[in-house]
Amino acid sequence: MSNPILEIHDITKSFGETAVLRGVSLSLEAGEFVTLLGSSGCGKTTLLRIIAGLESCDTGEVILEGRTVTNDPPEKRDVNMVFQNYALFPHMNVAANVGYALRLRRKSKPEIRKAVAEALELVRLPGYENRMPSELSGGQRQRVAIARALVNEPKVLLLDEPLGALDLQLRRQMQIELKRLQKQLGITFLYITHDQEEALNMSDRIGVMKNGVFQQLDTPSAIYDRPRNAYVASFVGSANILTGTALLREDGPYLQYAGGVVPVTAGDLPVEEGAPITAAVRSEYIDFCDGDCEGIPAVVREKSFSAGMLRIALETGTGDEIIASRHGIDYSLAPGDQVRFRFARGHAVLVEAQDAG
Amino acid sequence: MQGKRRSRGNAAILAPMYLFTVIFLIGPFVYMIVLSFLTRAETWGIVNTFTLRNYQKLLEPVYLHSFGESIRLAVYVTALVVLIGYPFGYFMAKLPPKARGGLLLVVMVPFYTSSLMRLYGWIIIFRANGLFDRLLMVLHLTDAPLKLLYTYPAVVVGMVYALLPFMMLSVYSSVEKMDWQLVEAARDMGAPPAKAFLTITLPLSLPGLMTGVTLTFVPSMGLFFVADILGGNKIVLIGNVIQEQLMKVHDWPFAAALSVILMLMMSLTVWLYRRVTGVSEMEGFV
Amino acid sequence: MKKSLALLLALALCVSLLAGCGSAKTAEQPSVTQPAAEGNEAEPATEEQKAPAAAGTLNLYTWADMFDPEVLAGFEEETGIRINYVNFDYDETMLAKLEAAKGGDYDLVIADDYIIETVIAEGLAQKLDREKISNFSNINPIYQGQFYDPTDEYTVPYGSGVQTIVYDPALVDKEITGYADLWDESFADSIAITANYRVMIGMALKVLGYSYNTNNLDELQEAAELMYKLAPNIRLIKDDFVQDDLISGEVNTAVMYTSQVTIAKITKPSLAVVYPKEGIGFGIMGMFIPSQAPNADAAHAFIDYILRPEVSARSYEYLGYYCTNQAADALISDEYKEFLVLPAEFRAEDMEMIENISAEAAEKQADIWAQFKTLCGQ
Repeated sequence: MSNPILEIHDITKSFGETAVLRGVSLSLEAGEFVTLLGSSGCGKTTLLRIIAGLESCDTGEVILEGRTVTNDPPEKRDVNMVFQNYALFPHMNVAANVGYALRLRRKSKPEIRKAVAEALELVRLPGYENRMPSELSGGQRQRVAIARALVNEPKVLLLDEPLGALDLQLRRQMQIELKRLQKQLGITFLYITHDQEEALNMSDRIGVMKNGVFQQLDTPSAIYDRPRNAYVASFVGSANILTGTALLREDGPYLQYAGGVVPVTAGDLPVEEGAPITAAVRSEYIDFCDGDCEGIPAVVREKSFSAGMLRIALETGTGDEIIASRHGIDYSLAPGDQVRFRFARGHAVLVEAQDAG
Repeated sequence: MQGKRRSRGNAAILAPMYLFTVIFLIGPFVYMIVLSFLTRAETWGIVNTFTLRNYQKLLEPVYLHSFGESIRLAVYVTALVVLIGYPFGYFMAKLPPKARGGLLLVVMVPFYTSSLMRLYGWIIIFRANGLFDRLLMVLHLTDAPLKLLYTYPAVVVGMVYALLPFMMLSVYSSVEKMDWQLVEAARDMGAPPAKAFLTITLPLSLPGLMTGVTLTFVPSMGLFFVADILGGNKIVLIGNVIQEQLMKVHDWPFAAALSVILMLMMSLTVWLYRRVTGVSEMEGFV
Repeated sequence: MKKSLALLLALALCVSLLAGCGSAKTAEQPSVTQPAAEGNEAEPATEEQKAPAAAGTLNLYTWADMFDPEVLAGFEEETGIRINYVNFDYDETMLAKLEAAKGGDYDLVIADDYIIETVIAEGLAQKLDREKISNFSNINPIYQGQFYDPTDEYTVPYGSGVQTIVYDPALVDKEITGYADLWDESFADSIAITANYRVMIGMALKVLGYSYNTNNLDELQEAAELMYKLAPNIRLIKDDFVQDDLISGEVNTAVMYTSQVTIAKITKPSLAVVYPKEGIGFGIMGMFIPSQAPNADAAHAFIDYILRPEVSARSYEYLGYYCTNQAADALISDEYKEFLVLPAEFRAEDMEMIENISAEAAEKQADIWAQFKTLCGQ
């Protein structure tokens, strides 16, 4: 096991009465792209700030390349942060902004100029040295902020929702840029976003956070295909959560739910006959069959079409809403139709009923 | 049609304001300039004869000296006000909102009392066997009353005291608007706290600082009653000369000439301020 | 919303302008004089013949605190005339106002001698009607026939002041007999003087044996040189409350006005008062009636009232200036006598009035003073 470049152990942090981080641990390998995913208030920004040294933790440790830096001030840590609002120094031009850290380290003027030019090249803003931040667009400012952080060659780059303020197209572009950069430079990225698509696209690993703890810390495919609990399942991709009782048959566990029986994959979770279980199944894996198959009966409520996918809303006998989606336009189903839906065993996985923390 | 109606309505509202400005601001100013070129009558009043004598007179050493003194005092006072007022305003802006409000009140309350009254307060403190003397004697640092009053330092203290709030409030309002994340970014980039302050906070609070400097430097050239009361009238500032020429000597044209030069000096300071900071509005001016 | 606010502000602005005009008028607007017959009945009081009862208001214009409030109340009670006591700080302000009002607005003005000279020269004062001032003969002749009103047709003196030296014998070893002593090195940084530059430069002039009112520029230059040597001894220059600094020990010697001397001595009897042997400058305050006074009768009645011996005595004790009413001298209480009544040995030759001088000389004096003050500050 190679030495991790960044380790955090059991970090807790409260602001007054509110506990923001409740025991978070993480280990980053050099060159990894790890994303912290979660909705606002889950503590991901606070965690990043603690790693950067801008915030202190109540308990826990931060270890950078084997050295404990928990109590070190930010300027002594070899990590750099790209802020959500860019935090470009408005009274300095782009070159001064990007070269700030190098000037602090008393590098020579030619060295600084070269490094700045290279950094701007990297973020595809060559020749922008003399512009002022106020003259730049949002996307350009973001790239300058990234250049500024990169020029320092930090061990770990912390990025706090860097693409949050950009429009969709620019965001997609920047995602590709960032990933390319990361691969090219081999710098470890610790990235924050609330956009699950972004996380799935860019990361080597994703840490889904809720209520100050990790719900699951895994590769994107694991998170997608084998969510640990309902929260993770719902947060990433569109999942239907079915809660019912377990039925054990020869070929594996089944879920009894809403008047139907469907096969499920247990994963790591234990299954007992008759015990309450929860399964998550993605919308795109839901199939329909005719009356005499073993599936779950439901009524079609609504059909809608969005972003190239047909979205069918069903209502089960128990009143739950199930979303099925597929490509193409399917005219065969209409609202009010009675159907049965089912899915392959591999596409439904058991999840923990409760969220972590 | 609508545009025309609106402009007429606006004109009606603006007219009294224009009138007010012309009558009460521009008018007296023009009068003063005209006056500075006239001659004084024997004992009282003026004679409508054009002369440059008043401007020649102010080139005499004793009057040039008083201009120099006024500038010198203004520089000392401004320097002290910056040294005391900037940190104060800075830390005031970093306090939590509740404490901040309380401190702001404390800074503003003296404004409700007459500045003259507050100056007399200093006399009570500084005079022989006054509060300060008694304090020193109680602490056994001195055994006889010190001659604190009617000295140059006493005047400086009085002026710093009178002008300090302007600096504090200007700096405060500038620092308060600061984006502290910029300081965090600087720290993150490797700047120790002092460096972060010097490269980020100080430059960004410069508008507030410069406003404070102007609000201090300009008045302190003309604030003559502090020199009168605390300085025993021995410090001859331009304001003192103007007052004397007007009231005792009755040489109105000369007083007008001095006033015109004083106003030019003040305008020059404000112009310099705008050039140096590149600020076109007086930021921090409430 | 924005527009109506702007309109409101504009209106407020206009109103404030008008208010400014209005209040000034009401402050100084005297009520119309009513014919004597309709005036209030005056109580028969003393044997002295009284002026015919003049009713209405008396607009009295002078410095603040010139009268014992009971003296004023007594006049109002007796005559039924209401006194409207208006103040000015400087004689020059008074003159400017009088010029603007063309001799109107005020009934009785009390001001310094030198400014009255200008007032009379500009025709802003009216001749007094002696018939209405029965007590005119009470005036001490020393104070009459002076430069500003040689024929005493326009003014009645109200107090006289001289500038004397006062020092604290406990703190000063030397015995001071005249101005010249002040130049002694032992007085470094310990003298307070008033800001009246004519009088202060006058000290140097007197030491050199010249007149207060010389127009000779060479003599003035000599005085200048002498003055500059005095500068290191000056601790402070102040017009008001100079006596406080002497009493508190801030300075051990002061050159002050008579009224300040009075307060100082009453508060600290151990202080010594010196009538400088080189000679004293003195000034007289005069009462005069502006040429267009709305209620001249009331003014005359007031002058007459003040000239009564007992009223005079009361007034000067309050005021602290030399009593210009001979008949009242005897009535002044002992503790005040020392400084409200001129010592008997005083000769008129020792006293010189400070009069207006030529513009050239005045300018020179102003320059000397500015230079002197600058030297004091160093």
